[in-house]
Amino acid sequence: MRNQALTQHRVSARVYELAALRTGSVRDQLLRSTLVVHGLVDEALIDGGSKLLVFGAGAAGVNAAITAAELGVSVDVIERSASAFATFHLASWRRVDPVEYDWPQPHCRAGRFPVAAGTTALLQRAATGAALASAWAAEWQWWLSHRNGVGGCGSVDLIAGTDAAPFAQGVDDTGAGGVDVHGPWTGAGTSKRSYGAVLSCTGFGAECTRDEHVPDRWAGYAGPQFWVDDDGIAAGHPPLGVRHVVISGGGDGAMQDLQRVLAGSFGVELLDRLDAAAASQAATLLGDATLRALLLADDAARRAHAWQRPQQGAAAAHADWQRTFDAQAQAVVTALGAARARAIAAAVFRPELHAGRLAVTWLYRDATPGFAYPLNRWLCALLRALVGAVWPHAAPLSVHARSEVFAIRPPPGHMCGTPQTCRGVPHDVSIRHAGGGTTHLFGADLVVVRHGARPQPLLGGAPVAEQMVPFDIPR
Amino acid sequence: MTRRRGCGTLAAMPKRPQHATAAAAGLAEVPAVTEIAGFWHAVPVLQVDGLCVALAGDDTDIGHACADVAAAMRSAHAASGTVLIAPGRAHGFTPERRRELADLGIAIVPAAGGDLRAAAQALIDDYWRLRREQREHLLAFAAAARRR
Repeated sequence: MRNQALTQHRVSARVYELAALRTGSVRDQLLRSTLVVHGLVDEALIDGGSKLLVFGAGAAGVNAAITAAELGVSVDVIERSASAFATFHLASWRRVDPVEYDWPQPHCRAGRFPVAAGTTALLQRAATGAALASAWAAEWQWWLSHRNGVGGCGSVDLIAGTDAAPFAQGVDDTGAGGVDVHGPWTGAGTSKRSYGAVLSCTGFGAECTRDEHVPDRWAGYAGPQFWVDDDGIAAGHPPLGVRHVVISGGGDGAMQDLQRVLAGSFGVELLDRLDAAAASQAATLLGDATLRALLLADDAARRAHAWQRPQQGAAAAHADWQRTFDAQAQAVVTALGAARARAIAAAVFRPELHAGRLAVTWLYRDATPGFAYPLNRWLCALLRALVGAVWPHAAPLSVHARSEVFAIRPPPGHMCGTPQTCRGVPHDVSIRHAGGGTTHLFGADLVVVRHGARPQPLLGGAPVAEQMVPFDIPR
Repeated sequence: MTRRRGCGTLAAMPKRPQHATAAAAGLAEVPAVTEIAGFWHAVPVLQVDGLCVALAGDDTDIGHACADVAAAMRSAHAASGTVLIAPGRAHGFTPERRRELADLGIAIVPAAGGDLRAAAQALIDDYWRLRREQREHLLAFAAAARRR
């Protein structure tokens, strides 16, 4: 079977593009870049005599370069910044966790990818982006000093502080055993270098945090960026300082932020807090039968979507996925009873929620939330069920399916600019529903938009919508 | 040896490092940390192999701390720098300026608690742990590539 990553990221026979990903998962980037390099070697497109050109020295680019070099292939890397992992250095508070996606498998709590040793060149550990960047950058520097071109390793030439765009425009897959890349190689004029293959790993940092198509309707509003902005809803229960949060999006990013806004933490940390709160009430949130039901639904949906080639019944499996999670969460909360549900909610939800000082609106475009991992899906379903149990009549969380933010209007005199200038300023938000009708929300002082990454392919290539699911990941 | 093809190639990789140990990785168990006064503004800068950490206390101009950590990085040939700021303190940089700093390998990190030195020590400990793991991992990765 041909390497599927190679097929998915192919622009031409010897030109490959990773930046068409619409998701920002670091694990996805590392695995895909590894698989593409292995595919290029296996197909003999690159070898000891045919070099690889990599655009970008971020996580995917450096991972690809080391992987190829350790397989005896020489590599040129063109990087815009003076240093590697520049985007990661921005993420000083956003935690990366390579295994939360794998919940409920046991290794989920280890903070390490189970097949990491030898699988991807860069280590996959749970840490902030900036912490990973520091460790990766130091070891990349060590690798360049000690392994580069030594003992059967290919040599890596890092061309830093250089914009890749002029070179990308000069890529010419000759179809005759190589790729010619015309560009300002020597700084003066255009010259040509030949490679066995070209791989673009640039532009993963761009997100859809505003209305790209009709910016006037959003008055230039920019929501906080998932990756780089400390939007004040980080873990640790800091006061939000806002009264009405709107979260738009149905994927993992939106679900994580819903957890953070409601409970002040997300992922495994929130799971542990919920478990501890339930244990204090002599209750269990996830019994064997519940877990089995979740796993079956998750398994069916993911198999139906493997490698983004929806199989027969994929839509039904997807709908059943969410229905099962919601039903199981509701059953768990019902079994708890009102008193214990209130006690768990008191331990987990933000104090502002209990004090009536916080309202949250969550909306997403489709009938069900999108392609999100089971931990996020389960935690959001559980939080929603708890909200319903504690506030049966006037819930502080409202959820709108098949809906989108249509317009955002700032108050008179306020000019939308950056997420920081808009935070805490009451904006009016109009939500349009697919079935007809509009809902107007007044005084939303934080609008969080999680509509995925904005693909910026340097070399072309079809957008890749979803992350690699476990069935795609080699074991 | 038959070359494995496609995705299956990764299956040949070991699940755990077979030979690489912490000792083999060549990095000390505990990092050697030195403290200097920053070149431009005398901001305290902790230096460890590969990383410089400037401590921007409540009264420190964060721009000055950035200048000092950048100078320390150049002097020590460190790949990364961190400006540690007190919790809740805004750094005040525009997104463009933050991007420029990140391009130089400098991160602005809010401390988890009020004691900046303790926070810096925790940050350095984490960095060293991750670095040692990455070193071991690279050695295992290289060994696996040789066997391929």
